[in-house]
Amino acid sequence: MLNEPKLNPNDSLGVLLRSAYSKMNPPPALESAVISGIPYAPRANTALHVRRFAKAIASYAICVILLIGGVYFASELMGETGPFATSPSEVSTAVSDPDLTTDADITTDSKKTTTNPKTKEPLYNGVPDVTYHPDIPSVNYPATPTAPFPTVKDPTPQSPTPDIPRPNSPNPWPSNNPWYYP
Amino acid sequence: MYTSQDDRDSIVKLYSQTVWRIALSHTRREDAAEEVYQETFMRLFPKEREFDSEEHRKAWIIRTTLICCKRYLSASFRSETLSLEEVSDTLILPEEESGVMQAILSLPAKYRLPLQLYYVEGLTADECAKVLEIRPVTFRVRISRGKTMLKEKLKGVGIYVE
Repeated sequence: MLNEPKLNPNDSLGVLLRSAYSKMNPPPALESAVISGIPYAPRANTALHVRRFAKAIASYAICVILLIGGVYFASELMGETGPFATSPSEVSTAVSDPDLTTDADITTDSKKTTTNPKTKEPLYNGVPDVTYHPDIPSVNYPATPTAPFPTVKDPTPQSPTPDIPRPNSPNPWPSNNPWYYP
Repeated sequence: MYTSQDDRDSIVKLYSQTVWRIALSHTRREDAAEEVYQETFMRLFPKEREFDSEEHRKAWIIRTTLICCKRYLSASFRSETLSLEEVSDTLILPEEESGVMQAILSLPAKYRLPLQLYYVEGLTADECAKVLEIRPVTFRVRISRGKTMLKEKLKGVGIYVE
């Protein structure tokens, strides 16, 4: 059986507590507002609000730092294609670089084809077109030729190679050689 | 409906300190105590409530105050409480009573409320047990432990109680 303690509300501790609690009184404005039924706005606890505001700012700053760090880390993972890896000017330079142009650019962008003023050879982005040859018509020429192709004459029979005997060696092509054909 | 202004006036003046002490002791914040104080009387006045006796009304008001305190503190953004020094500063008490208040406010709520209800608000042990929704035996054990803890804390601030 539990030995229940004897309670006396008027012991020394009770007197001390009643004395301490008797100084706790509600604000008169609050009491009169409740009596009259008018809503009373609680006083703002400035220290608490300042602390909460500081906490909110700190948490927001941490979020922003984590976000920036995440983006930076992701750009590092992606290499030069990341948003922080190359500046916009570098990106535009890289796009205009002829070495980086694609086949699609070559076939669609006709304005980049120019002509060398000295040799009249076609240039593509300032570089001679390796497919150009003066005797071979370009693929851009009209399909039907404006002039007939030049007639090719039969080649004239060439004279046989002069038989020049060497002084210190026998004639490699003697006339009695059955394989000799003048 | 409490249509009479005198009724409201007398009831508020009778229980004003009780509600305020419980609210401030439980929430440990003055702005929270103001809100709880206001809500407790707002719950009491708009409706015609039948009470068997004045003790019944007092127990209902104390119970409602405790419920309002718990509801107020249940919101996470309101759960932050002031330190004991800040609470004592807001009360503006003499040095000795400030030490007593610091000692009792430093107790856990499960020991602080029984001591306050029994010694300060004048409820009997059974009434306190009903208001706190605990068994009378549990209430007596908490009172005993709370007294021991409070005496130890009062010794720390130089107040010796028999």
